[in-house]
Amino acid sequence: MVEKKIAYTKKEALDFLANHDAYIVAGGSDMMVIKKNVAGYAPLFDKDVLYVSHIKELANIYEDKDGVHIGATATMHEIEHHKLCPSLLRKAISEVASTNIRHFCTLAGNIANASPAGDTIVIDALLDAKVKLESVDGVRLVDAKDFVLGVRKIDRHPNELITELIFPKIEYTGELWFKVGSRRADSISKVSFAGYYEVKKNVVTKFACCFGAVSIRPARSKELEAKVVGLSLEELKAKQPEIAGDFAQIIAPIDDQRSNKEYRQTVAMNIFNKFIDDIVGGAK
Amino acid sequence: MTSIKFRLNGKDVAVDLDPSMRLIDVLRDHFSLKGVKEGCGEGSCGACVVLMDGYSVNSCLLPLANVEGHEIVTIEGFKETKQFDVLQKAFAEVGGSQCGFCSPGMIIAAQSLLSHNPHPTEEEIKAHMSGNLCRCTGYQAIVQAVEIASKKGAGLW
Amino acid sequence: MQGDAYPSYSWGVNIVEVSFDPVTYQIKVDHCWSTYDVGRVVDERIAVGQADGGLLQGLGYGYLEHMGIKDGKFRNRSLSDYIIPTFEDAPPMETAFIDNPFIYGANGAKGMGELTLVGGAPAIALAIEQAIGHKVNKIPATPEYIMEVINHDKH
Repeated sequence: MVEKKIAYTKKEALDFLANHDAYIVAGGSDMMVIKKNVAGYAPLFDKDVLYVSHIKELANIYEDKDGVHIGATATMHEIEHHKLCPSLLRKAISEVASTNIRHFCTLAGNIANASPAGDTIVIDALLDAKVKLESVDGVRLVDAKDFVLGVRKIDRHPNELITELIFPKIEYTGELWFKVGSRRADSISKVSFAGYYEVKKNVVTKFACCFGAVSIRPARSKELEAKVVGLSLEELKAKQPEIAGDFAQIIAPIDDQRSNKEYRQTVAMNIFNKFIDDIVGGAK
Repeated sequence: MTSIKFRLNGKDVAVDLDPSMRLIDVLRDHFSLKGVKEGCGEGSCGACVVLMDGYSVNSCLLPLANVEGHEIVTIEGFKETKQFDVLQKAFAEVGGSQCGFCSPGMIIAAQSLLSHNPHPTEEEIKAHMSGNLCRCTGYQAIVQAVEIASKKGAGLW
Repeated sequence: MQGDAYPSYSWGVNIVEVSFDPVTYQIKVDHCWSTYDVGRVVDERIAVGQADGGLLQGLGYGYLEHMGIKDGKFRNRSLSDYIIPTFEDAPPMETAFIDNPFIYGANGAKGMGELTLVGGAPAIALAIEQAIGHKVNKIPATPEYIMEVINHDKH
């Protein structure tokens, strides 16, 4: 008999997880689809379930020296409209699913679900966010870009609960969030891209970018990014084909019911080139 | 089986059901509230939306466990309000409802929008309601209906 | 009201205007204009509703709604995967009816239930052809197909 537990405090949740290998349900928008049964019947859970949406201490959004802390049960709607939250994150969230879903789904749930097409995971990886995991054994911080291990696989020990995502403050000149879905709203990404840059006195002083939905985990290369830092805008323009060619190697798109690999590869690089064009052209 | 207590259409209720059950099934089967429709069961169509604490949410995705302590309003409860009266007349005026399958969800989504943004622009209406699909109307009449309701119901939201 | 609406044809003209994004190969439907001869319109609100709905369904058929089959099974078998237009995909649609009563029709009316679905897909396919400068021979003309057409014609 599968046990279904509703936790009202973090302590209750951690105590439960200490003794149960359980599915954790926050908003439910992913889990309820994955475990869907026929109409009229409860979802098919093959192990215990822990419901965490009532834990108020996990719903806070606040800032300190480490950055902006976004609680695991804060809804995407709250985050989208919260001035403290990073602009790129708010932009990406505004295109996730629909307003109906954003009213109750969570940021933590999006990364915990670890879908290759997840939009906010791209932002988490780009902005060097950290995932805070707590258990009865203590606290563990994992870099968001390393947290996703595979399709629906994450670096969470069975007794751990995601309690926060922490976004360090990053200053920059310009940013780009670009989502390619199958229609203009309410769609799952075929390709996504996020990037930021800083240009001072005609020289690139910061450069970071991350591709989504074109590999199992968000695709980012700090080595390749470092090669762009220090280039003048003229050098960046001259080296653009070579740089694009390098970045094209870090993605591995596939064919599926939404799209095919040629389209994804081409469009991902079109967007990357548009990003470089924006930087070179001085766009914000 | 724990007893899940919440507020439904203005009344306190307690449900002794599996907390992992979907709210849509609890509403349709346990409470016989058939206004919520299962168009997809995946949160893509919006035909199942209800108001939770005033915000539209997909009842096909909400587990009963998460509803505890919250205020749920379905179309059957919303029907009694002045806001519904304005919306209903607006929808009827411009043909915002044809087969009617999406209509309860559309009205709930419109209420969620107007109660937080009483004078939305056309773009805001389309953006907010894009999680509700309609196959019959081509959406134009529904946007007009929400605009008319917003004007005629000034002060209600 | 008595009559026979069906011994004759009904007619329509659809004009669809689109924009093409060369970065993503995506199509945006900007505006549609339609006129129909259905004899005499009995109820304008219902007729315009049918015109709007049928046209959007036809447009979806023409550029969005892909039903893929793999190993004999549908690939796009849920509303998350079978893509129909949303509010944000719906263009402004202007519709006019020509008053041309049909002598055998009830109150002069002819059939119009299926009529408004017919023109949307070919109209948008032709608009896409014009926008991309290459022939479109398949619907839905998805971004993947458009990219294939443009690249194929280059080689």
